[in-house]
Amino acid sequence: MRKRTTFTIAMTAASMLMVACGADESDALRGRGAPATAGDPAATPAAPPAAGDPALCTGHEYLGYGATKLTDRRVVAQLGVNRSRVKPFGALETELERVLGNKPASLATANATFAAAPPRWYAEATANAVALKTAYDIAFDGCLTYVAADPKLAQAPTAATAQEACAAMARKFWSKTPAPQEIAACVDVATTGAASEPATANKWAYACASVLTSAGFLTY
Amino acid sequence: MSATGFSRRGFLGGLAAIAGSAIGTRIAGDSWIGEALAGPAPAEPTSLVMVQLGGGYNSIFGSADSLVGKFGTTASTFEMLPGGVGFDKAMSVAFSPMARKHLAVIGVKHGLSSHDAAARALWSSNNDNAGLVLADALGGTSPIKAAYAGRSFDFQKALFAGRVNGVSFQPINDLGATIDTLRGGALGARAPKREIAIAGMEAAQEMSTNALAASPGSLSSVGNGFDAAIDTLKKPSAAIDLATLKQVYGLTSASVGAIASRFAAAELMVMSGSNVVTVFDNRWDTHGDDDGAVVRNKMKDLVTPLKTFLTRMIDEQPARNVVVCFMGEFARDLPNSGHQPNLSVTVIGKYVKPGTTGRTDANVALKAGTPGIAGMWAYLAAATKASGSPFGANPHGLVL
Repeated sequence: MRKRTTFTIAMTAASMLMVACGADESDALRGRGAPATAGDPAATPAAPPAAGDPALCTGHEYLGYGATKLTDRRVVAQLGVNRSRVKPFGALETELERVLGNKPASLATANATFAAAPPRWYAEATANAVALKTAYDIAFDGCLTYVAADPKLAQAPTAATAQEACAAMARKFWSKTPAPQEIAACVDVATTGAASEPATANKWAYACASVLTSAGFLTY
Repeated sequence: MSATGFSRRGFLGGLAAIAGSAIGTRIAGDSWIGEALAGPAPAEPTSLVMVQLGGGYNSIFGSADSLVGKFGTTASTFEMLPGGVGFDKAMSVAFSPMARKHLAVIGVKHGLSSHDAAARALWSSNNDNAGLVLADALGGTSPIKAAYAGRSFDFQKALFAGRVNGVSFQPINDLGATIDTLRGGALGARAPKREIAIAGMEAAQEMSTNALAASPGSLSSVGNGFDAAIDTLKKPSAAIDLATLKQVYGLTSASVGAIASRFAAAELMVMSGSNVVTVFDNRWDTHGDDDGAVVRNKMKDLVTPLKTFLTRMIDEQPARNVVVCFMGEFARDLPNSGHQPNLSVTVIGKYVKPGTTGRTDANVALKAGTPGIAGMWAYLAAATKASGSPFGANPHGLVL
């Protein structure tokens, strides 16, 4: 009796595994590589086919309460895209201090601007015009201190020094190597955008703030 | 039972389990066992303010005279406004003199009784956010043409993250920071100068190109935000006084949280030239509110800031056209204040002709032939004098 019950449970579990991926994907639980030929242990399995677009997995649509389709709220996403997220304010607070070596005073009162979630709550962070402009203001504040502490930035930027400094800042702030056009955008701020700024430190700070306000720093 | 434990009964049980599991997994999935271009700006600064009372909007606010004996409605709980509109006093006490003279109730027979389906449908026009369609149609030069205060329902997030001809909704979370941005940036020795900050922000946008291209959905708010921020820096608004806003709405901080601060944010964005502003207040799913006491109590939170807003934005701004619309996903039904698959919205504005197409019967139903959601937006477009009829002809009339 006990063995019979065990068998029934085993069959149930097996059946759930077999059908969970959809009957019309009949190869879902089979090995997808080419089967190794008997006596040919070195046979290389073929590369797996590219994963299909989940949006193409359709079928009969059922209506639930309120005449709403049960699949209405199903999230359909393509693989490999939309992997970046906006950093929440809590992360920005520590990240700014980590990369700049100082905590801008203007950061202290900015939690409402960035819609920081209350303690023990989670809300996915999003950006907006005001938050991005405020991020630039805060970054500029912190960059003034950062620039003042770096003797290499004591001279007014030239195309060559800005190229080197922008590449270094982007590498440090983003934790990745910047692309040439990204460096060029930063150089442009230091040498052209801030040309009317008389203070050397401020010229660098405008460029530094632009690197910190880009997606390379504000998202992950 | 066999010695191996393999019996006919066990085998058949296993087959039955396979079939049952297979059917079960198919129920929620595939079948198996059975299968604009922006138009010219209106002649005067124009803003539509949508107040979304998320959860539902009881028809005692606009059709109280037909609901006597229901939801605790008696002859003394409502008043008749011009145009034959019966309005519960719990809300009508907030109406300024102009609001009382220029109020219409618009029927929306949408046939939807689930929150998410109705909330999304009410904000949709084809595949776009209807509010953005109208904000775009209203044109003008405001750098932030659409804004919101408070939080939408989660199932509306994608709609409010969209974009129509470059117009996107920008959330307003902090009055002070918003004012700083609108006037071109924060002030002080350690704040960037506006002219140079424009170059800095444009560079930041340029540096973000690759990241935004790789995550067009999850970083859409970044892309929209850069556009609006740079536009705002290029067109700074006249100074708007934070102290005055805080004082008239009784605020102790600049954060946008409580409902009074959301109306303050709405005023800020109206005065800065936004075309469509949404105020979210998602506390109105009032099941079991048989006597209407719950909605009347909730309305007490709105009355003071609403009166301030209507007075300052409609009565005291004769050179502006500010249209205010109150809506939920649907009305509350009888007898237990559930989900009624139709809605009567309240619209107030200087070109609103008093009257109603949203008068319900004694069971909160609307007349056959009452227009649906597109009709509501067509009415709002008419009341805002938007050019080009972006939602079709207005089927309700009731516009001066």
